[in-house]
Amino acid sequence: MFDGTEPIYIQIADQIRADIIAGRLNAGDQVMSTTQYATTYRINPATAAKAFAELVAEGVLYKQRGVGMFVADGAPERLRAERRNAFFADRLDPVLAEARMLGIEPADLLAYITNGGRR
Amino acid sequence: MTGLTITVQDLSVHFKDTRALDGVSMRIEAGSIHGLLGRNGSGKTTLLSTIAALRRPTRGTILVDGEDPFESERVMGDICLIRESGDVLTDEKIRTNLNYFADVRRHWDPDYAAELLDAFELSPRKRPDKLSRGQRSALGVTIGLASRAPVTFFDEVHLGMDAPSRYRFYDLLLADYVDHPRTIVLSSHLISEIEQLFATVTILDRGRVLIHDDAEELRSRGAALIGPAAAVRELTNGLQVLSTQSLGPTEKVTVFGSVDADLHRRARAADVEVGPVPMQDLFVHLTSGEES
Amino acid sequence: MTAGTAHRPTWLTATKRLVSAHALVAGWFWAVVVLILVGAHILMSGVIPTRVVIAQYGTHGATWFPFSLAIIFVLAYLPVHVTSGMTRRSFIRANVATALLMGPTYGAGLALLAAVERAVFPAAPIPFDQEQVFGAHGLWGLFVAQSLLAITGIICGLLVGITYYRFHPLAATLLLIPTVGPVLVMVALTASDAPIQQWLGLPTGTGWAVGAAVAVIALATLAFHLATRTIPIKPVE
Repeated sequence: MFDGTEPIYIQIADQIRADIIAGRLNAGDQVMSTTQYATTYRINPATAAKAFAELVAEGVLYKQRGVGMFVADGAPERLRAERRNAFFADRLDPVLAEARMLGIEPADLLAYITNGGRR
Repeated sequence: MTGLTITVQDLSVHFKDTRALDGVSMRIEAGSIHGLLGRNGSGKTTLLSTIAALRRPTRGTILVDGEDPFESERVMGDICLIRESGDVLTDEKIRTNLNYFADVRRHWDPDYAAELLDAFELSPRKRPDKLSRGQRSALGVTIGLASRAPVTFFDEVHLGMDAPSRYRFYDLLLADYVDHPRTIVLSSHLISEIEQLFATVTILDRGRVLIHDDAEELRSRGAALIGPAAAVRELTNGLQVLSTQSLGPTEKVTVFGSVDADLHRRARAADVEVGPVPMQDLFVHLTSGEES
Repeated sequence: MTAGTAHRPTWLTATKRLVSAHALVAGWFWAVVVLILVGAHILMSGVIPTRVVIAQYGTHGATWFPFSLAIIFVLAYLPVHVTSGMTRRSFIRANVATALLMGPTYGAGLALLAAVERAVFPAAPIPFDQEQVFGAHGLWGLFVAQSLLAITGIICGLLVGITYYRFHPLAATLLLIPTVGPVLVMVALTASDAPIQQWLGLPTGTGWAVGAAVAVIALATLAFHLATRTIPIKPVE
């Protein structure tokens, strides 16, 4: 399940962020514990702990001593806003660059988008 | 109990005609899971046996929690080395064996041992010499985990087990490690299944340390570049090339070294794909070298 | 964590194990000896009218049997002992303690059987009041002699086992002369006729004989200690 070039703890953090953005995890929801994460995915618990530490530092998760980790209030909105800001630069720019290379006209792209994904 | 730190300094172990270990220096942090990787005959077993005080080094020092383990009542008692076929009383029932370990192992947990036997479907009435290779390994795992020793070595123990038992072993190991953190070393030459368990890794090659690093760090140092042959060659110029595969106009080159953000950027610009290299592949490439 | 075992010295734990292993098999040994003894008396009653105390012939069994057990146990327990995190030092100590504890049980067993025989057959001539070092002391002499023999037997068994574990089989076989030698010396020292001792130049006074026996045991123990204290535990195949 972890196969990118990126360190596993970054992949874990990304996955939790993605779950929050997609609404699979909501504010106040408890996330899996380090132990559960480690045993479920057969990874070193220290690796999982590192991912959680990063998310806590970012304010995405908060720790309740003795209980576990929870999604912070406002985290879904904040993550979505961040992702929105990055969307054009990170996602759309490469698509546009490729479209240009293939000779696809902006008008065709626009038509595709306004049709809701059908030609 | 959080495990003990192991420091090895310039360790050599010579047998009559072979240098099993030749100037090995390494450090394993207390409470971490360490992967000791190497081909058959690379010195893994000799290294673990020497740390576990089964033999004396020819040269060099070993410190476990700051003390030379050889004949140290305190430190030896805190080390548990599980060798593949297990060091057990072969013609005594498993139950008798477990009673023995309960007597001699300071941190032994009898209830957990019984649980582990159940998990591996081992009958306490059986004798070790009547078990299959996989069952012998499972018995070794049971002894190694239930001993709860602050320093626990599993020397290629999982290799004899079938896939379901191996995964059971990984799961049990992780769960128990979380509850009872300790220093654990897993040695192996088959690592794809277990590489994610390691915090740190040592690769031994012909009795010497080839790599001693953070697992994450090691993984990030390898990359596979796939793209137009000329561009790939240009990008990999000056890097340690582990293997080259030509696929017509496309070339796949596996490199090891400073695979940094700059390389990624240049690769993207040149239409070259940069992919990860499984630790198993890195290991195979790094240890199959021809140099002597 | 198991309570109670945490602070007990490991050599005591190991001694307990070894003694119970020895004692279990020794129990069977004595059961068989008693059976043979009864059978022998039944046979003898039909052949020879004069009774003798047969138990004394058990001395060979009561020497070489624990000797063999020591070989088996030292080979079985050494790797398990050290890989279980216990020192060679505690292994040596436990084995020597076991020899010192088990030896006298063979002495006592043999003396007890002899005493029973003499109680059952009061007419039997006392076999061990001849002109010999230990025989002059009757049942006590038998007890002391057999205890010394069994202790030496066990310690030499340890030595034989260790040399076969440590060295090439051929070397270990050549080493049998010094490793089994002490038992043979002890047999001569406690032999039931004095001429052997005189002929070999061994002491014929009890005090000297006991002194010599203790010295032989001490030497064999020292050899076992030296052969074992840094012994490498072999890799498993």
